[in-house]
Amino acid sequence: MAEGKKLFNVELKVINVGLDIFYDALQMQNVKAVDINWRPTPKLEKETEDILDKLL
Amino acid sequence: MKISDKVRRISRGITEASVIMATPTNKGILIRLGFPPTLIEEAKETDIIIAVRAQDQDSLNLAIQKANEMLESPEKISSGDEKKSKLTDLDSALNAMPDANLVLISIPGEYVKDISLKLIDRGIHQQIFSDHVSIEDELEIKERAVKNGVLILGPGAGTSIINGKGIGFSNAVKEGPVGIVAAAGTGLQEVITLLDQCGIGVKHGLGVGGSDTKEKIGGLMMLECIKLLEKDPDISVIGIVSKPPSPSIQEKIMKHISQQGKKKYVLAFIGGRQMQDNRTGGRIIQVGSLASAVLAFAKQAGNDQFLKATAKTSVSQEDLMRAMEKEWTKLSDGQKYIRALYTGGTFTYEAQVILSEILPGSIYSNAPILNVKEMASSLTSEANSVVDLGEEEFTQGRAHPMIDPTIRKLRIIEEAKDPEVAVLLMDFVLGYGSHPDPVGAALREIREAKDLAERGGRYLSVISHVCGATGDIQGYESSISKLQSVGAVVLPTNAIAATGAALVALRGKGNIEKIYSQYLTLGGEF
Repeated sequence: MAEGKKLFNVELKVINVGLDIFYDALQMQNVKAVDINWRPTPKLEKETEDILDKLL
Repeated sequence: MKISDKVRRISRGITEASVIMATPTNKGILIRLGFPPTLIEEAKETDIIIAVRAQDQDSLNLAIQKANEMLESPEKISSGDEKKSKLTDLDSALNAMPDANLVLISIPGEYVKDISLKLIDRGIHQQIFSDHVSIEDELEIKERAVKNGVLILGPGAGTSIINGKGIGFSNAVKEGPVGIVAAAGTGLQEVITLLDQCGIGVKHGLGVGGSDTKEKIGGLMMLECIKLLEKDPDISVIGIVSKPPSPSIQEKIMKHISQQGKKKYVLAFIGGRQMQDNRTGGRIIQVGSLASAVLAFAKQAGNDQFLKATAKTSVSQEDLMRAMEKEWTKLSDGQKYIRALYTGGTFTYEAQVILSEILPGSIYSNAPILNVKEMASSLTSEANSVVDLGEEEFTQGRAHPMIDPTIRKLRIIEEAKDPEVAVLLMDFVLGYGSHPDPVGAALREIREAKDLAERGGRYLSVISHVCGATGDIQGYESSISKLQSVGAVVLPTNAIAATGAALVALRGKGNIEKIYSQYLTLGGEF
């Protein structure tokens, strides 16, 4: 079995994708974190992307 | 929902602001908030409604202007957002933090799988709060994660603690020798906060999501988490907090911990039986409630801790009876029902377990357990009702009630109007991610509900429980004081609060001994 990154007993380094309140909570605890200002990909665009993926 | 919150805070003159999609649920809420039905009904489902109530015209105009500005330029939503991230995708975030070891995901469920699989391939652990991830996607994600040595907490996992740090909805608790795996978010919050009050710290609390212990997922991550906790030298007591898993999964977990586990265990399967596994010499204790789980953890930690936990989190049968008698003697003859308005899903579950053992009549819920009837409509209570306000029908297009208390505030008043209601039973969850003052936000309505009953010649009993740690920013002690200041009874655990509510409604009758022996104490054999 492969090994994931070390998580326990090392410093937490967190990427937050979604609700800002969770990022704020990490900051309050001095946890190193970055926040992604995530937006959903428009559906149509994804469908077009899929078609392009098949064509190109 | 963020815009609503920002608009509400612009000026003291703004008393209510909702900027929401015009879904049928939201339209219903606005009408119940007193906005004109004819105007509200005109909105189509794809429209956004800006509904504002203000004390003066200037505040009203300002609120509408700011709401429009924020809708047109989302970057204006966050005031003082110099810290607002410019990162818009996962790749740029991974470039900015190449050594990230955890990603916290709370985006719509349909987008989760793509991101999750990509992260698994890079060996990065994840906590997924998002709901609506299909069980097939969850299985694919978790199977690949196990192969890659990656931990997946969730989907549907709102609460975790890793290395003593709270992830998602969590509490400021001290670090210590306890490690917990939970498939019950507010259940984990209840246990860690009560342990904190008893001086027992928690190093890891790993939420695996409610579906993990279903047959299809097979407890994949619960077992992975148990193995990790077994390996951590700082952990001496491991707990499992969950609704009862499917029988085959429970057997698989029991087999694993009794054959391969070396540490002490507390298994809290809410609604399950209380027992000690004698074959393991008391190494494994099984209990049936969150309240008894805390006592069991303390017992595993030592006799001193057990005595402290009993003093701190228990109320003797006699004391509870005396306190509740002060409530039931004020009731009128026709008042007989309990209306439980919960924000925590596990609290809803635990309350049903207890109430269904005491109350003789029917109990209804929008998230019913076995022996409890499904409500015809979540919006209207009947007889004894236990409502989970965090269920999907209440959260579509609006924030969870632990963040936005509006929906419960409305409901408090509605329940108080019913002359057959004797008790309002409520939870208040503090901590990271929760509303900045969930108790303060409901005080006016609790006072109004009691006044309303009084004007009708009745007394409305309000029984509550505050789930919080003394370090939480909302203030644990001050939250309790505020509730007491408006005449609410505050009890130390959700299980005791549910028992107290039943005692009031039944005027002290009911099989309380059974509840005490099964759910509120640890039996004599421990």
